[in-house]
Amino acid sequence: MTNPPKDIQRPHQYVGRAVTRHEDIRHVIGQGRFTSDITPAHPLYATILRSPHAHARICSIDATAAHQLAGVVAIYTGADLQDHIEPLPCNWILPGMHVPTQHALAVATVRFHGEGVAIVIAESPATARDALARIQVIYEPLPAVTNVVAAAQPEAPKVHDDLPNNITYSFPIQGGDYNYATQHADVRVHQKLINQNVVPSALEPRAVLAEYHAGTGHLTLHSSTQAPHTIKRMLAGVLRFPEHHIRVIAPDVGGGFGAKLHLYPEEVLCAFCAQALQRPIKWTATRSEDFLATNHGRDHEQEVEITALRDGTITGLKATLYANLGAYLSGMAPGIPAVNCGSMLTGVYHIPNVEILVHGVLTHTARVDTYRGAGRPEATYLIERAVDLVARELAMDPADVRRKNFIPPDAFPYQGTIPGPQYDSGNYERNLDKALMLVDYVHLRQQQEELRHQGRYLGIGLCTYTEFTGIGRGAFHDMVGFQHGGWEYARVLVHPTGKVTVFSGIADHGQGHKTSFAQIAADALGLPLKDIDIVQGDTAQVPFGNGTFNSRSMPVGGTAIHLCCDRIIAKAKRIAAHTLHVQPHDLDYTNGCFRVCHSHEKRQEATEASHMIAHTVRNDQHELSFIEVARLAHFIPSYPPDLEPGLDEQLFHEPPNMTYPFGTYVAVVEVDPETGDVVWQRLVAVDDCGRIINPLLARGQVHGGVAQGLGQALLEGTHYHDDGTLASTNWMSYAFPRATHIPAIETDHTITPTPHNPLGVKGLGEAATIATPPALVNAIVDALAPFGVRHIDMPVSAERIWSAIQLAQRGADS
Amino acid sequence: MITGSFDYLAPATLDETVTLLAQHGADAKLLAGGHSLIPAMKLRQTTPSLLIDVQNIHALRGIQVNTDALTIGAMTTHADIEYDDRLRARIPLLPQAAQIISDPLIRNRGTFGGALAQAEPEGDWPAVALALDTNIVATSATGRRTIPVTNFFLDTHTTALTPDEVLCAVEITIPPAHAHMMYRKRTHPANGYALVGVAVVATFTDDGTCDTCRIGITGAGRHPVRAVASEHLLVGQHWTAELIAAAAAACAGESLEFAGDRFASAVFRAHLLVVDVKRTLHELMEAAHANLRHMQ
Repeated sequence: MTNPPKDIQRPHQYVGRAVTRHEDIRHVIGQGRFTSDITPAHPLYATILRSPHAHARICSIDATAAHQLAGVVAIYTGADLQDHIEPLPCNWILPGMHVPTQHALAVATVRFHGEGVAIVIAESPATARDALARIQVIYEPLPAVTNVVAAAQPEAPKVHDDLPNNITYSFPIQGGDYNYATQHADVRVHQKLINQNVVPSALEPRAVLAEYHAGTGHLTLHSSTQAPHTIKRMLAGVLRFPEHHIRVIAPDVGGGFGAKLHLYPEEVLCAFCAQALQRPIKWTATRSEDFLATNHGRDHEQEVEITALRDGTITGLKATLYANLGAYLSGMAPGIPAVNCGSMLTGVYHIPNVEILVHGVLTHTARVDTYRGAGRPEATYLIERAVDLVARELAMDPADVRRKNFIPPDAFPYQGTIPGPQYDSGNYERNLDKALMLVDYVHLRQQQEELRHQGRYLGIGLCTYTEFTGIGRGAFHDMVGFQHGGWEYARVLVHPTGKVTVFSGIADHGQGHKTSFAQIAADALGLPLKDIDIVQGDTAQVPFGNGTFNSRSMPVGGTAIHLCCDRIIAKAKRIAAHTLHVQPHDLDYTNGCFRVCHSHEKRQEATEASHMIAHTVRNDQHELSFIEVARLAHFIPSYPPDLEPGLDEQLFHEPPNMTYPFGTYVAVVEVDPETGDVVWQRLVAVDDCGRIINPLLARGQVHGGVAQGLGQALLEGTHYHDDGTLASTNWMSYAFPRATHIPAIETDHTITPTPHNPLGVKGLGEAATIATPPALVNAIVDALAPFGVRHIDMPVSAERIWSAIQLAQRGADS
Repeated sequence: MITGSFDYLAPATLDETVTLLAQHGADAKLLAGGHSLIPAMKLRQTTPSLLIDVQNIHALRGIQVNTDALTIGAMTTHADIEYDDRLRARIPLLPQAAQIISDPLIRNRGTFGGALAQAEPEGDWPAVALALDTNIVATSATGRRTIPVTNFFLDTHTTALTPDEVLCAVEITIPPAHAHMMYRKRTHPANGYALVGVAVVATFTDDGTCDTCRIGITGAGRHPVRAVASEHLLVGQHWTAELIAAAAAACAGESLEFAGDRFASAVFRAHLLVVDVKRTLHELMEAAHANLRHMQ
């Protein structure tokens, strides 16, 4: 084994290559393993009886008839469990805010349509479902409020008796002097914006399998979740169960989009019942339950005012946000509008005078929390619509207004006017230029003008965004009350044959980490991709982690793996050096081979120790393959005094700060004013997420994000009846983007590495969901400019377009 | 999404089926493609005690093309119609409409007869059937009868079929070779049905006069209807932009009860119907004129 084995032949670099997904074949041939695919022996099945009212007092619950149904094993109500299960926690508590109590099942009062009232455990799913109809609940309906601004009014029905005005917090963010800006501005533009309540709609609804082993006292929970370690920690608290006896497994997870990031009542209830009944408990949400009782997203009403000089310089921004948090606080709910949205409202612009007030409001809806973008879409929509309104007011090209106000490249790291972390790196103008060139902007504007003369209405909409990914560091979390680690854990284990298992605390739920993480590890270790396996989503295999959210997988999780691989190479080098009788710094490691540098080929004198390993390495040997070192790490007869056997490293990586990806999206639409039809002609997405690990997966993230952004812009939105019950409870009544709604998407990148991690990577997973809605709405409003239409709220339906034209024309006629 | 419990039978013949229906009446439901029935059962909006699956009755599936008419078996799928070359040649309206029904998965299972019997107010096939000279063939234990499509749709989800009848086939007169036909659908963004759907079949004489015209509309009211007033304005006339505008406007006067939803209000649907009828008639007029020029 003097030469590197042939199987070490590998391309120089995997990072940056469009490697196809390692995961695909498993799903294509139906070998995926999702929570509901797993059925241990003798399972029981759970169903949840849910409130048909948005707000009601529970007068009585009579489960006698349900108990009589053959196969029903147990039924618990909120009153039965309240002494055994602690309230569900919220992990993001802003200074001084009020946190209402959420029980796993409602006790005495239900506060949203779909809130759990009882859990039925039965021998079959059908029996469990049949039993629901036999539970008699007498409710006294109470007035409900689902609109966020209405809920914040003094006369609104109270969601919780101990919160008199439904406002859990009012969070001010200020910088400069907005009053000064208004006094010295040439123009002042005001607009009310609605960022509607949407349903994240993962393909796989939530599902839980809970198993309790009486012999060991261990609890194992399979859950369709993005954050198994967080669930483990919180389960321990809520169930008062020793955390070291809990194992949480997120097997294949069919999407999450932020909605599967937090602890849910069903996880707690199934775990409790598994212990109480000593049988495995399975629960799978129906699609209707997913609409009713899985977290919703967005749901802001915003007032924005922006001041500018005649030359397009933006001088001030004032924003008042009313954010619906739902009837109870989900894990990160308070921080999303206050911090994720509030701190990002100035976007890519330097705005010297800022005055922001965010109200976090409770209403009688399902909980509202993280949904792909989580606050940054709400911020970006506000500022990008506002900048377009300034351009309209000043009769300037929207691209020019943006360019005029961009934070310049030499201002990074950039500390904005308002308190918050520094933007790490950026070159917004270069990115905008690339997008405008790709879309042929100058020509498009000419074409728009020509078509208008023919009675055709082309619209061109821009969005230049930035956002933050990889939330950290701990000091920032502490400052804003976020009880969550920003670090990520990685362990790199080298087997004696040189194969490598990488363990990450990030939890894949469709992103393709088995591929992208393997690319990072393969490059860092100088090994072929096929020699790397990635393990995630099991707290027994990966002891620590913070899960997948905030596009942190690559910048934080990928960096942790990269750094951990460096440690492996450092240790492997010591083993190799010891074996080759040189110092570690005398070795180069390239292409899977440790070689003695030419300048250090002089060998140490053969010692007794080296004589002892003569059977392993010849005295004239100058190099060792990684595989050989892996073997030596386990079988070397003598180790240097301070070196342990094995090649197995772990670390916690705390990011020094967040990374700020950015980009330009250009939407081109043609609107038919007679019918309100929007024909989406082009979408150009030029993102800058620093260095790209896998362009294929990056493109996939953009495509998916555009689809969801389009969904919010044109189609989606919950609808509530006057009594507060949800009217849109399935995809027949909630418009979700389908393949035919999605246009061809043109993607490209500029590359501005972040200084905060050695890979130079920023997150990309949420960018398109953030950038697409404003680009699209700006395009539609731009198309309708000749009619005098200034704004249309999302979802921009054909009818809203048609009505806006009618209204504008009536206004013009009168 | 678990249905209530029910009995399931899959008879091999139509005779057995009608006997079962006679015995069980309204407690039984016929299962065709299942794309309306099964979701409703899963949501427990309907809880039949017996499902009679008719998929084993091979006589119910298939398209028979004769000289002047064709017969489409009730269990013929949308996809069967979409890909039938004979239909493409003789009544292109049918495959054209089939290919814009929902998505390929549904088209592979959903059936022509099932869709008509369901009488969805926003369904595609009812409008097409109304625009063609269509007869519905129904069989029961007491015999067989033919129902003209114009008498078939009575209300939302309600047809002239009695609870003991099976819709077994649909007979359609093949329009003359020079007929012009088109189905224009505005797809509902959520449920995929027609927000507004307009099917038109028209023939023109050699001098360009409209000889016959049938217009079926869907999505606009409690059930699909023929736009009779519009047809009257158009037949026997040279179509002009003014005439088309008048005919389209007449549609809104069909005493339709527009059922709006939050995706498109009744007012907007009424507006869209007029626009879509107008645009459809314009396209047919242009096609007819092109044809005329070609003949000259």
